[in-house]
Amino acid sequence: MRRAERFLFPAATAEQLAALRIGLCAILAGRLAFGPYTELADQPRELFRPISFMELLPSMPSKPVVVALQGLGVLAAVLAVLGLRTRLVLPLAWACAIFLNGMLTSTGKVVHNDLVLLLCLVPLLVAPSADAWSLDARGAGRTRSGSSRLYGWPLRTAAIVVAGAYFFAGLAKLVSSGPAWVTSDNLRWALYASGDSDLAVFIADRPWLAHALAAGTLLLELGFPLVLLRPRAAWVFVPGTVLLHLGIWLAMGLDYSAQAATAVVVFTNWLLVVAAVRRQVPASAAAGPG
Amino acid sequence: MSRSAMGETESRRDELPSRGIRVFVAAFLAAFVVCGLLGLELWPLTGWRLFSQLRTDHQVAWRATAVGEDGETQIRFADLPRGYGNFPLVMRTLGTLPRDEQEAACRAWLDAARKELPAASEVRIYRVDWYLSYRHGTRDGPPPTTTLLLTCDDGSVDAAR
Repeated sequence: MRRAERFLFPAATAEQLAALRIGLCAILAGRLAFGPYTELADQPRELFRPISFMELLPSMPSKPVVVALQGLGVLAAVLAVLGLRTRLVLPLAWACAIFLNGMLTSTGKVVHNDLVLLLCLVPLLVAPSADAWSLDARGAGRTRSGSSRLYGWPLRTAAIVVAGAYFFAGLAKLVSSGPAWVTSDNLRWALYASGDSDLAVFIADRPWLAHALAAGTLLLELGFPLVLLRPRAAWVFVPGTVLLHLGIWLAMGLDYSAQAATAVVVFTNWLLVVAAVRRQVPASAAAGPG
Repeated sequence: MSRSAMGETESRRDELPSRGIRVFVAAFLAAFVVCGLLGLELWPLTGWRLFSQLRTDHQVAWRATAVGEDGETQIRFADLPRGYGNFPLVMRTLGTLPRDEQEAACRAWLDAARKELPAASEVRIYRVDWYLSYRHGTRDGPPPTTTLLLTCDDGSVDAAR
């Protein structure tokens, strides 16, 4: 019990948690701003296929409602990035995103593209994520106070969500299809069926390459939880998943950029990045024309 | 730093989140793991079934045509508002729906077809069985076959004739 508690509630700094808030809310703002929600508004109710809480609605909401929610969601997400009234705006942005993504997934198929992002944001709904790097903290005159177990759990929870999403995706492949997911022509047919992109046809025309990529995908997904035990493994798994999603986008046209970006935000040590940038900025200022 | 200040810092460092937060984290992660392990869909929690079913050479597709004065014209759902783009997803389960819901969906597609072809009098929906290997070079599989599934106009809906 103690070990589980230490694992789930590690110490971290307010700045580390703030970096997670800023990164995830920035992705959310982008997704909400450019999502295709208004295109689904006013869909004929006969074609509405709701799941989950969307079953409470008789049809897709009207365009004015969607536009209002989209605008509110973007504004709230941007304010959450800045850390202004964070306790209010972050849950508001998340609620708008859940509703709008609920529309996307009410067309007859579960849409996973933004789910990792939305689930990683869940701990931030109640976490003290604006204790640093925020207008709230600046307004309250708060000072930093080192690392604390009050700040580590949202980071760990988000890491578990990302690792779990990949692991369960791999597990579902094994449970549904077994080793044949790799050893059969499964991936070749999936690539041929996805359209006629040059990359998809190039891979599908080479069975050895398709088998190798299928095996690599499964290894990457099932092995991802290693990053929870060996943080250095993130240097392999995070770039690996970014490449996987890039390949899927180029070959099949499926956009999992939000998931890839979420993995990068969750597993990057932003304090090191900020420190490196701060070292660079005075150096370039000194080297610049004076 | 004084001994008491160090002690305060240490105790803040070790201070756990409130019991409410700990229960929240445990409940959220338990639900996330159970859905993942059992493949449950309780959106936004999910079973993460992404490309998990084996793909084969054989493919099933659906095609809808609008019947007008000049004969049949294929309805291009990609050119219609996105709300109509779930035609293949709706078709996957259409056969399991009550007849009135099948009729309603088919009439929605007839209305959509009239955006492009105002004189359309009926919609015909076909099932197309085809083989990837036929399209992609080896031609091992048989050529596509097309079967009429459903026809609807303003007054009636007919299952395959």
